[in-house]
Amino acid sequence: MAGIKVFGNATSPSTRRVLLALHEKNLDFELVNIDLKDGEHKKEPFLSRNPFGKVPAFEDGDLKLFESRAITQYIAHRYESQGTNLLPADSKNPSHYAIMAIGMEVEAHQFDPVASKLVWEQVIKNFVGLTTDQAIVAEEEAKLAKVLDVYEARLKEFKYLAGETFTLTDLHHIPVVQYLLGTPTKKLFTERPRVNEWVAEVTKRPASQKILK
Amino acid sequence: MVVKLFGQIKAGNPQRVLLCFLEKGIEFEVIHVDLNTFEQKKPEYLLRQPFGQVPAIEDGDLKLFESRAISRYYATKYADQGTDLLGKTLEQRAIVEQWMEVEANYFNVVVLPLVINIVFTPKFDVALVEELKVKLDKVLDVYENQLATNRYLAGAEFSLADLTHMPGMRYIMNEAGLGSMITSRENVNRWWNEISARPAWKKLMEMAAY
Repeated sequence: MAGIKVFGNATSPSTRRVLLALHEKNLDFELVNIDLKDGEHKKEPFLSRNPFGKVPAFEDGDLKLFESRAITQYIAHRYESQGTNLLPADSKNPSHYAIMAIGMEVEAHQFDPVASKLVWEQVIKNFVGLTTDQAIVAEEEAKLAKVLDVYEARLKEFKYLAGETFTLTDLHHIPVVQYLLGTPTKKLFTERPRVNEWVAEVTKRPASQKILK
Repeated sequence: MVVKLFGQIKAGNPQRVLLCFLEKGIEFEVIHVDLNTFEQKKPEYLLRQPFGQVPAIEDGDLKLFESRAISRYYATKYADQGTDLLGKTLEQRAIVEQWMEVEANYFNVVVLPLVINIVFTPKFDVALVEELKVKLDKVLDVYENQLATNRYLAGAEFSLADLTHMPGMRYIMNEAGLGSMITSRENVNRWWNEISARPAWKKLMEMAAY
C-alpha cells in the first residue's frame, strides 16, 4: 500500500479539515509540509497536484485529489468501516445523506466565506504585522450572527448539525471555529446556548485536539 | 409522487437542479417563487430555506435546499436511471466531487459577483468587474489545461462536475457578454459546445424561454 499523503500546512484550515478526517479514522498518513511563506504552493511540483495553487493536495495510492471537502468525503466513504463514522448512521439512505449534504453546502457557502474573513482580519493579519480593520470585523460579525441564528434553531432540534451523530458537516466547521475561539468573535458562539454547546463538543474531540499541535 | 421545486426557471441555482432532473428523466413540478417581489425572504418560504434563497425541493416528506446537495441526492438516488452523473467507482466519484468543489470555490465565487454586477446592477463597480475578470481568466486557464487531456472536467464522461457549471456558463455566454473568454480557449470552447448541445440542456433552455 503506497499510503496516504497530505501535501499542506499544519496551520491552514483547509489542510486541517483533511487531517481531522484522517485522525477521526485513525488512519496512518504522511504530512508533507508545503511552505506557504515561501510560495511553495504556487510553484511546481505542487501546482501539478493542485493547479489552483492552494493547500491541501492528497494522495491515496494512485488516487490524487485536491479540494479539502472532496478529500474528506472520499475518506469518509473509502474508510467507512474504520474509526469514527463521518457519514450519517444510515449512510446508504440517500435522504439522510442529502440532509448531511445540505449542511456541508451551508458550511461552504454561508458560514465559511464570512468566518474566514473574520479569521483573516483578526488572526492572519496580526500574525503578519498588519492592522485589523474593525469596520470589516463588525460587518462580517453581523452576517455571521444571522448564520449562527439559523444554526441555533437547528441545534435545538438535533444534537449535531446533520442529526443525532457527528458527521462531516460538523467536522468541516472545526478548523475555522477553532481560530475564531481565539478572537472576540467567540462571543457570537457564547451568546447562543446550543451553538456554544456544539462548539464545546466538537472542539474537545481527540482528533480536534490533535490538529492543534 | 412528483417532486416539487420551489424557485424560478430562469434563476441559476434552480437551473442546476432542473438540469439534473432532466438528465435523469425525473418528473418534477416547478412552483414559482417570485424573486422580484422578494417572495424568498418571506416567512412561509423561510420555513423551506432559512437563508431565504432558491431553490428548495419537496419530495413527499423529504425537504431539501442547496442546489448542489439536491443534485447529488437525485444523482445518487437515481444512479441507475438516465445519465450517470457520479461515476461508477468511489475513486471516480471523488474526482467528480473535486471538480464540483472547484466550481463552487473558484468558478462560482467569481462568476456570481460578475453576473450580479454586469447583469443586475445599473451602476456597477467597474474596477471590481475588471479584477473579477482577471481572476476568471486564471480559472479558465486551469480548465483549458484540464480539458486538453480530458473530454469532460472529471474525465471521459459527462458528470455533475460539468452540469454544475452550466447555469453560470450560460450567463457568461449571454447576458454578461463574456463569451470571448470561452471562445478564445480551444478546449473550454469545445467543452461548452458539447455540453450545451445535450438534449437535457436544450429542454431546459426551451422551458426558460429566454
